[in-house]
Amino acid sequence: MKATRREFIKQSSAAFSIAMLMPGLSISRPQQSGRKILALVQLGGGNDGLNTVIPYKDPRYHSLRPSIGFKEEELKDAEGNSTIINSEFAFHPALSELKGLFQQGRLAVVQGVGYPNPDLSHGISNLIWETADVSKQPRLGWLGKYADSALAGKSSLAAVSIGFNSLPRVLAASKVNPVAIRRLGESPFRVINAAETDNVLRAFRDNISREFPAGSFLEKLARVGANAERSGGQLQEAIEAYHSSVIYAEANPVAQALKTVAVLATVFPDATIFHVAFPSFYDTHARQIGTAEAPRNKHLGTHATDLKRLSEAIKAFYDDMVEQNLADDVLLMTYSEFGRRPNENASLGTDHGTASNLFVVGNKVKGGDFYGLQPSLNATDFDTAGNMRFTTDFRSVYATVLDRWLEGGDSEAVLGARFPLLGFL
Amino acid sequence: MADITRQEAAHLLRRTGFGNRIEDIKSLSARSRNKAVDQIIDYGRVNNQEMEDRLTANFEFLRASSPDSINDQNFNDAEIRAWWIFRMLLTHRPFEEKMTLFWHNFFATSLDKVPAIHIYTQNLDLRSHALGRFDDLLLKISQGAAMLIWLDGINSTRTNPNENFGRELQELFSTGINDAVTGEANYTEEDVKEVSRAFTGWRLRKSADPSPFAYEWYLDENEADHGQKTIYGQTANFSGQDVITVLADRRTTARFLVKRLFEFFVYRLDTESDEDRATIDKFADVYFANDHSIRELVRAIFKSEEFFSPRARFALIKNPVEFLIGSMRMLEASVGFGSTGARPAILETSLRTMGMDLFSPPDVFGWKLNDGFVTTDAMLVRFNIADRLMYFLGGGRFVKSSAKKTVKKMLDSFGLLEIDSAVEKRLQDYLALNSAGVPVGWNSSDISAIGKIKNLGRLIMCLPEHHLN
Repeated sequence: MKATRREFIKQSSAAFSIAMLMPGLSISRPQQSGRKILALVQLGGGNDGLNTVIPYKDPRYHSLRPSIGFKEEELKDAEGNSTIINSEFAFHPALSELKGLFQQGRLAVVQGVGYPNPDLSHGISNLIWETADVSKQPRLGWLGKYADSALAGKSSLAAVSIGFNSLPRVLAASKVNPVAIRRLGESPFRVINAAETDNVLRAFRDNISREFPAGSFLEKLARVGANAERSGGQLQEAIEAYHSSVIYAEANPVAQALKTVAVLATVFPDATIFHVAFPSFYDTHARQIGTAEAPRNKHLGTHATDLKRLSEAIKAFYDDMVEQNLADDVLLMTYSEFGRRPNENASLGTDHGTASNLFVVGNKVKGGDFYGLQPSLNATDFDTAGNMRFTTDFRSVYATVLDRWLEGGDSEAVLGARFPLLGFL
Repeated sequence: MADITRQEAAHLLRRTGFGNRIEDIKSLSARSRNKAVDQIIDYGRVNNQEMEDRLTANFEFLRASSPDSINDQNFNDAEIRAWWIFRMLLTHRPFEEKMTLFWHNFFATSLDKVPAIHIYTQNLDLRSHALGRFDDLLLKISQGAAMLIWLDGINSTRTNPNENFGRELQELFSTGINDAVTGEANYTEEDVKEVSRAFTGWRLRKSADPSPFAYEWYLDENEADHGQKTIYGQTANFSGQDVITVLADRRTTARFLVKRLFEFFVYRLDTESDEDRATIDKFADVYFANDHSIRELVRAIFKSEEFFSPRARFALIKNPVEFLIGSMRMLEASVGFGSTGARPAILETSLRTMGMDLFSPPDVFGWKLNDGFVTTDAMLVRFNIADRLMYFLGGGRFVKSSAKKTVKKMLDSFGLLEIDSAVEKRLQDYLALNSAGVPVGWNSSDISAIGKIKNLGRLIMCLPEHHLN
C-alpha cells in the first residue's frame, strides 16, 4: 500500500537515509529478478527507415534515390565489413553494432510499421504514436495507461522519462506520476550556509508539502518540487551505487540517456518503464548525407551520425545489461513518428513520409529476424503524397509488448481493441 | 478610468517583463490601466542608451565593422547567449525583450543547425519587427538567413521543391493545422505541396554591406517556380511573398496568433469552451481592424478585462528565463560581465539545465511552456540557483527589526508575492531558530542575521507560489 503524500513527507523529514526517504524503495542489486523492463527509445523527427534497413536489391529503391541511396558495394562499415543481412536487406553502414546484435539473435526488425490515414505533421503523428489513438485527440499516453493499471503503488521511479524539457505524452497518466529527468548528476538540494542545513530543509519541506487543489499548477510545482529534493539525494546515491565496466561515450547523447536507464534499472527494483529522448537530426529534409568537404559521401552526414550514435549506444546498453545480470529482463524498442518519402528531394534529403521500421532488442526477443513486410516501392502502390502504404499497424507492435512482455499488461485495455500480435516476443 | 491597483500593476509587470520591483510597481500606480499598458507597450519612448553602451563596452562583436573583425573567439554560441541574457537583465524596456522571447519561441530556430551569425541577426529582426505588422515580420523572418537554413529553403528547387518550410509556415507560423475556433482543417497535403512550390529558388548571399552580419535574400529565377499554383482553392502564379500575404490575411491565422499570444501572456485557453472561442474571435477582430498590427493586438490584450481577471492572476508558470532573470532583477543581483570566453557560467548553464537553453529550443515546436518546465531535475536546479543567488547577494537591506517585518519586506521584494499567513508565520519561525534548531527569537543585529536573511530569500524562491507568473 502506497503511503499518502502527506505521510510520505512526514516520514521523510525525520531522517535522511534512502530507506526512510522512500518507503518501500530500497537500493539493491537485483539478481535475475525476473523483472520486465521496457526502454522505449524515440527517434524524434521522423527516421528514414528506407535508409536504415535498406532494400538494396530492389531496383526501385535505387531509382527513387539516385543520390542518397546505398549501392550494394557501398554497404560496408568503417572497417570494411559488409552490413548486408540477406538477399533483400542490409543495415545502414553506420549500424555495424546493431548488425552484430541481429546476428547474435538479440535484435529483431519490424517493418512497414504505420497507421491508417497517415498524418505528415510531426506534432500530430507523434500524438498518434504516443497515445496509440488515431483520433488525434490529446489523450493519455499508451505507457501512461499501462502505468496506471500496473504500476500504481510503486515508487515514482517506476515510470521515468529521460530527455529534454517536460514529460512526453507517451507517459501521461491519470493515477501515477512518472518522473522526468533530463540527465543524472544535478547536485542534490544544497545549502551553502551549511550550519543552517537542517533548519532550511525542515522549513522547505513544511512549505512544499502543503495541500493544493488537485490538478493545479501549484499542486504540480509542489509535488515535483518535493520529489526533486527527495530524489536529488537518492539519484546521487544511485550513481554511487552503480558500477559498470561499460563505457558510454561522453559525446553521444543517446549513450548518455541509456546510461541513465542503466543506472536506474540497476539500482531501483521498481524501475519498469523508461521513455528515452535526446537531441538528434532525424528530420532529414536536406543533406542527410555528406559534409561540406565531401557532399556526396553517404557514409558521412547527419543521418549516418545519428544512426552511429544509436548503434553504439544500444550496444553499450546491451553489454551493460549483460554485466548487470539484467539482459533477460530488459526490452529496448525504438520508434519514430513517421518514416520519410521514398523519393529523395533535391536537397540530398527526404521529406515527411509514412511507414517505417523499428528495432526491438533484448535477450528474450526472437531476434535475427524480420517481422512485418517491407511495403512496396512501386509508384502505383504509393498514396497520393507519394508515400508507402503501411503493412504493420503500430498498435500490433504495442499489443505484442503489452501482452507478451510487460507485467500486468493488457493490450485490449490500453489500446481499446485487439490487434494481431507479432512474433518477435 | 480608475487607477491601476498595486496588485494589478504587479501582475502587468510580471507578464510584460521579467520580475516586478517595488519601484516599478510604484511608478505605474496613480495611472489608469490604459496609461499603464501604453507606457509598457510603447517602449520606443524609453531611453535604453545606458544598456546599449554597457553592452557595447563589454561585447567585442558589437563593435565589429568589417567581416574580419569577428572570429570564433569573440563571436560564438556562448557569446550571443550571454549578450541576450545581459540585455534582459539590464534593459529599461523589458517588454521589448519579452516579445522577442515570444517570437523566438514561435519561430524556434536553433543553433543546433544554424550558425550563430544568422541566429543573432534573426534575433535583431525579431526585436525590430516584434510589434509591427504580422505580414512584415513573417516575411522578414522567412527571408532571413536563419529560416532559409533552418527549414532548408535554400536547397529547394523548381523541379523538386522541399516541403519543410512550406509545411511549417502553415502549421507553426500562421494558421496551425486546425482552426483554433472551428477545429476545421486549415490546409491539405496538396496545399503543402503547392505552397512549397511558391518558395522555390529562395536563396541567400553575403550583401555588399561591410558588416560581418549582413546577408541578403534573393530569388534564383532558374530555380523559382513561376507556374500556376492552387492554394486554398485559389489558382494564380503565387510567389512566396504572395503566399505570406494570403496567409497573414486568413482569419484562421489571426485566431492562431491570438491563441499563441494569449497563452503566453494571459492564460491557457480551452477551445472547447464557447467563452474562450469568443475571446479568440474578439481579438482576431482587433487584428483585422488594425491592419494586422501586432502592437495594437497586444495592446488590446493587455488592456482587456480578461487580462485583469482573477482567472489570469498567477495562472501561468514562470519559464526558466522569467524565473532566473526575474529573480535577479527583483533582487537587484548584479553579475559581472566577465570577458569573452569567461562569462559568468551560472546564467547560461542554469538556463540550460532548467530546460530553456536560449537559441536551442528542443524542436520546431519551441519549448513546452508552463508545467513543461516542471521536471524533477529542473526544479532541483531552480532550488539550487536560488541558494547561489542569495549567497552572493548583500542581504543587509532586507534586515528589519522584527521577524514579521523582515519576512514582509522580502515577500514584497519578490513582486508582492501572495502567500497564506501560515507560510508567512513559518518563515518568521525560521528566522527565530538558532543553528541547533532551537527558537531563540530574531535578532537583527546578531552576526548570523545576514546568513538567515539569505536563506529566507532562498526559501521564498523555493515556494511553489514564486514559480507562478
